This record gives sequence, structure tokens and C-alpha cells, in this order.
Amino acid sequence: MIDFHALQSAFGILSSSNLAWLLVVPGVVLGMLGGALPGVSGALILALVLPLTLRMDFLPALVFLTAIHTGSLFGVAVPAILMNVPGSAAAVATSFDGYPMSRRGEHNIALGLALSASVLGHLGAYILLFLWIEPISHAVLKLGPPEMLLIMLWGLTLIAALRGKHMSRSLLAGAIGILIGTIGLSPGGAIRGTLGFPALLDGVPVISALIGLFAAGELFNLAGTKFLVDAAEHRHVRIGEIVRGMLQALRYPFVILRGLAIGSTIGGLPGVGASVCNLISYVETRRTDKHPETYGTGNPKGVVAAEAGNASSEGGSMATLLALGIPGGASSAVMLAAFALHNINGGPQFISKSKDVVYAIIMTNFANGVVLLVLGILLTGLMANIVRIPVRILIPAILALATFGAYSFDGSMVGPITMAVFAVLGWFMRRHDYSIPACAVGLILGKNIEGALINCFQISGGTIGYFLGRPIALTLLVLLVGSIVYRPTMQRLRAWGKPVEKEPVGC
Amino acid sequence: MLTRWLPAVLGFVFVLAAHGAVAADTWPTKPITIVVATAAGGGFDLMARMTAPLLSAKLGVPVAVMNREGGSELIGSAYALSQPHDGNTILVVGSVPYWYADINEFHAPFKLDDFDVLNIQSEDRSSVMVPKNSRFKSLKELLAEIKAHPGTLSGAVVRSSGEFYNMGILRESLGLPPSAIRVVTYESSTPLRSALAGAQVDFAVVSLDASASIIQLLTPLAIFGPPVKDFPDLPSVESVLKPMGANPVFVPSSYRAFVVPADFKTLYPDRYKKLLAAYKGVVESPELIAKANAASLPAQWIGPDKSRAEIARAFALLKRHENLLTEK
Repeated sequence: MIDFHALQSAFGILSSSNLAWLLVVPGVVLGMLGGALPGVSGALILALVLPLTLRMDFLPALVFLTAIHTGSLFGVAVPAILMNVPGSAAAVATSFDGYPMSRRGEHNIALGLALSASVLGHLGAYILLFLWIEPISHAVLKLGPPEMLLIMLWGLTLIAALRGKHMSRSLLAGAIGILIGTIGLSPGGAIRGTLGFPALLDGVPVISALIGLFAAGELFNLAGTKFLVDAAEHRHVRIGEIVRGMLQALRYPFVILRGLAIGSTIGGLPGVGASVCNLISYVETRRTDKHPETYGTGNPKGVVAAEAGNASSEGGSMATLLALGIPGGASSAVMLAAFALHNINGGPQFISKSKDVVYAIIMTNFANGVVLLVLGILLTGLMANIVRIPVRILIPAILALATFGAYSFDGSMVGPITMAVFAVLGWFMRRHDYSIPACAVGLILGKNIEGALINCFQISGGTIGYFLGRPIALTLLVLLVGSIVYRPTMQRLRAWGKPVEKEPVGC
Repeated sequence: MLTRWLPAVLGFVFVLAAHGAVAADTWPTKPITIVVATAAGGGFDLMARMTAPLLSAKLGVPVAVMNREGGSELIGSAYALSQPHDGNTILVVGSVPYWYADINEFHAPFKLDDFDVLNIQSEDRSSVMVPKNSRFKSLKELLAEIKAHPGTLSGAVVRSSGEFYNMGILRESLGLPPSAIRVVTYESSTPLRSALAGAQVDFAVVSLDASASIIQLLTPLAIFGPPVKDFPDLPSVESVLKPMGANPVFVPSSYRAFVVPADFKTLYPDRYKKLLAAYKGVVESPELIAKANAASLPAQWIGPDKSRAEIARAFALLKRHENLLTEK
């Protein structure tokens, strides 16, 4: 399971530059701050520092980027708990019980619960990755175009089924994302939707588009409000209470383990990643609890479940990133780009050839987890202060930063223009309750989905027997159909006034 | 008034003139950028990155490498042309076959005459590969199966690549229709190699160099053209086809070339001469030869004239097989 020779070589990589480790602390801090600012996702911070890491050697760049990623996954919980504004989709479930706790004046404890669950989920997921990366690397080669196609479509529908009030709108948002994703040179060699711009031949620049969709979209939304937070009594922070909350989380080991199991498997699903794990972990914990009615009113277990699921999704998404070369979410998409710029290309050959680099990445994340634990205690107070910056100062500052980030990404106006266009789209979608994560995932995966579909036809010669002979693909198809029809069916059953037992969705 | 300002104005003019003169005489004064038309990490990128520091040492200015991938190398080529034609931007591109597709298929905003190819520095080679545990142990067995059961085997290629053409030329030389092989197209060789390693496809025609990273999961059956150093026992496709009565001419896998805009030579003849001499010195230097051989990217110097002739020859060959791009 563990390749000790590669492990030794990994330690060699890690000790090649002691200076690199100085970047863990600023990385985690930056990530936490970015996560804590609503609309500024970890992906945005990663995209912003990406040009900076080009000037670094591989190890410092790796340490810096993973530290930011780790920090941001916890950072998003802070505004979710303090203000009911999740820093990203990954912390939606955290706000369900975290915010009611804050209202009761238990925000310090809620923050401590979230921090503890985050660190444990993070470390647990990377231990699993450390042990299982080898079997994963062999299993992924068996996933052919039909399996990949169905996994991608399933990820999209799962987001649609879990997010947003209107499932059909979420599915439509995903379809729009896929369509935008197919702009450019198709896998079949046709040029589509470029409107004659050579810049679009390689497709819409995904990172700029994501900055526009998420960050700018959210900021436009905030512009309608006067203050990010206006309740002054929520602002005091006591370290002692945070530590008490951290210890309290240890009382729920099964909740953490469940979150870990869900996060590290669902988190590995391309495109689903962190956005969905926290919700599923929350839903499952609530379903199996003796008092499900206490959830949503400030149950500490709800915060722990959501954060454990969220934090452990990182390990899962890192597995698919390294083993398949497929990003599990927006943050991993930026990480993938960063790796590529340092000549590290995820995929089966990377895992089999560069196990030492894989181990080095995992080791770096163990260190990040420990640093997060210490910095989390010290910085939650500071972060709570940051969200008190007046909106009229915050928005222009973040918009300017985002524009610079989009520009510097490939050094042309294509980035900022893309960002502006997608900011309008994001604002519109938010306003009309279309799922932005579904659209973003569709956009990221659009070309891959099309390529996999075309390859299915090409390999099979159009015969259905090819598909029927693949059990994994058939299972995935059942899950895909299940995730679409489950909710409407349940709603219809409930509408008849009969209480029904919840059936397994398969996730 | 005038007398008061005259010295300053004169001084300014003098400085400008001096700057112009300096620029003409001592180019390069600013860093030079090598634009690579593929993503970081591939053969093109590697070739550019091993050449850049040696070129920098010869010219006395930093030489940076920038990747502008996408659109069958169209984006990088168009980007390099959009920069000032002053010698400070050099393009590294797979002139053949990607420019052919760009110009004839993808409505590229440039034509072949817009470029001056300094040198085709390295030529990649096409090969026929199967997964490690494939039932086919030789190209002969593979071709026999395709002939016996046409339309049952799937063969992977990168779209618009030299290998795309070569698979079609191979098939046509055996008198087989397009439907004889289930052609599976990929956008780049990375996902193609993963698919081949996982036995998702029966065989692939893929460049030999690019497959080195995953070679333990693949078995090469034959190579297009004469043998190579790393695989001395690998038979050539031509030698397998000959007894079958087929004698096709295949297209090059790719001509990895250093390129400048065509009018650079007329705009700055001195700079052109200086750049060409420095670059030639680098390609022929023992340092580059050693580095290139170690990376299995053997470097050659054939110069602008021969490079142009080679590309023209290859374009004519591709033109002859144009039907392969459209037939289903």
C-alpha cells in the first residue's frame, strides 16, 4: 500500500528547501481570510496568487497553494456561523446550525466546533489518501469514456438535486454551463460559438469565468445591502470559549467519521467536491439522529457534521485530481493549473511515475492541518473583524483584485472581459435562483462530457452492447437516474399526505 | 525662450538618436520570449526550455519561455504574430501538421508565408502501440485482424495530428474503407495514452516521444520510418507493409520548429543574421546535443531553406490526403 522508497524520496523533496515551510503560515492565513470573505472563495485566492507561484520553485509553490486551499476550507465557515452568509457553497450546511448558535451567543463555541471538525476531517481524509492512492491509481485506468461520462453527469445532477429551490432550474443551469463549456474547438474538430474571436478557440477561459460567476455575482448581490454584518453583539470573540467548542466536538466521533467517509468519497467525485459533501453529511447525521427536530435550531452536531464533510472533501478531490487529472471543484481546478505550470500533470502516469511527489503533497497537507489548528484559534477573532468592513469599501477593493487576477492569469484583456460577462450572468442567475455551482461545474466539464460522449460512440461503433457489458457504467446510470427522479418522486409521495421512509439515494 | 530650451531639446533629441543607434547596433537589449504553442511539459515545451538558457548565454539577454496552447497550435502561432516583429518574440511550433489544419480547416488568421522557419530542430516519430497485455504481438497480427473483421477494432489518434493522417494512409494502403477501423479521436496525447494503458481502445497511432512517461503500460509494435536508438528492435511500418504489396508514403509526425515572422528578415536584416547565427551555434553546441539526446529529442540543424522545402513537401503530402479529414 505504501511505497516506502517513494516515501523516502518524498521526504527528500520536502527537505530540499526549509524556506518553503515559511510559506505555510501566510498560506493558511491568506486562505482563511479569503474563505471568510463572502464571495472571495479559496479558488479566487488561489487564482490570484497563481502568477506569484510561477516565480517559485515547485516545493514552495506546492506548500503555498495547498496551505491556501486548506485555510480557505475552514475560513468559509466563519461568516456562515457569524452572519448566516456562507463564504462558499461548501459552508452552506454549516450555517444551518452555526448561525442559530451564534444568535444564542454561542458563536465562539460554534467556531471552535467547526475548527475542530475541519482539522480532524482534513487529517483523516489525507490519511485515507495516503493509504489508498495506489489502488485508486489502478482502478482509474479501468474507468473508460462511458464511466467518465456518467460520473460527470451524475455529479451535475447531484448538485442540481441538492442545491437551489428549483431542481429543474438547477439542471437547466448545469446544461447552460455545459453549452458554454463547449465553445471553441470541439473534440471532433469543429469550431463552435467563438463569434470569430481567436481567443475563444480554446474555449472560455474557465478561471476568469469562475471569478465572474461566483465572486462578482455575489458582490453585485451584496451591493443591495448596507452592511455585511450589523449586529454588534456578535462581534466579540473569546479564545477560551473557542477552545471549549473544539473539545466539545471530540464528543461526537461518529459524526466526524461519517463526515469523513462521505467527504472523502463524494469529494472525490469530479465536479461535486466540497459543495455537496457538507450537505450530504449534514442530511445523513440529521436522518440518523434520535432528535432530528433539534437540527436547524443550533445543534452542535449539525456544525460538526457539515464541517467534517466539508474538510474531508479536500482529500477526496485531491485523489481524483492526482489520479485522474480531473478537478473535483473550482479550487482543485486552479490547483491543477498550478501543477501544470510546474510541469506536474495529474493522471495515471503521474501517479505511477511520480509517487514521491504525490507523497510530498500529502505530507504537506498533514503539516497544513496542524498549522490550521493553531492559527484557527488565533485568527477566528481577526477574521470576524474583517467581515465588519463596510460593504462600500469591501466591494470595490475585491472587484479590483479580481480583475487584476483575471488579467494576470494570461496577461490579456480576455480574462477581465470574460469575468465581466460572467459577473452579469452570475448576478442574473443568483437573482432568479438558478444554481451557480451547477453552471460552474457544467462549464468546467462541458468539453470533457462531450469528448467522453464522442469517444463512447467512436469506440462502440454505435452498438449498445459495449455499454451493457460494463457493470460500473450501468451502476452509475442507475445512480444518475435515481438522483434525478428521487426528489420529485418523494415530493409527489409527500403531497399525498403519507409519511414515507427515506430511501437510499446511493450516495 | 528658445535658447533657454534649446540645449534641453537638443539633448533630448541626441539621447533619442543615441538610443536608436544603440538599439540598431546592439540588439538584443531586452529579454526575448519564446512562445511555445503547446502546454507546459510536452516535447515542444521541453525543447524550448532546453534551448532557451543556451540562447540566452549567446545573446546576452534573458530568454523566457511562455506557453500559449490551444486550438491545434493556432492560438500560440497567432499570438506570436501579433507581437512586434522585432526579433524579441520567437515561436516554437509543430509547423507540420498543425499549421496545415489551422490554415485549411480552422480559418487561421495567418498563412504559411507569414512565417519564416529558422530551423526544424527536432522531428517526432509516429508509432503503432497496443496496451501491455494486448492479444496482438505484432503489427502484422493487428493488420490481419483488421482485414479479417473490418469495423471491430478501435484505434485512437490525436485529431489533426500526423498520426491521424498516418492511420488513414495505412488503412488506405491496404485497400480498406474508412469504416474498417473505429477511429477514436482525442484532443491531446495525454488522455489518449491513459485510454490505451487502460485498454479502453485496441490500438493507437501515437507519437513515440510523448509516450515515454507511461511506456511500462504500453507495447510499441512498429514505428513509421527508420529505426530509432531507444527501440532498436522495433520494425518499421513500411517493412511490415511491403510484403503485403503496400508501399505508402507517410506524413511526418511533427516538425518541431523555431519560427519568426516572415517580415522580420526584411525589417531588421542585421538582427535576423545575429539571431540565426546564435541559434545555429546553440543547436550545434555539445551542451544542447547532450541535453537533447538525454531527453530523446535529438536536435538537428537544417537551416531556413531546407526547413521551408521540407514543410512545403509535407504540405503537398497532407493536401493529397485531405479526404481523411472529412470522410466518416
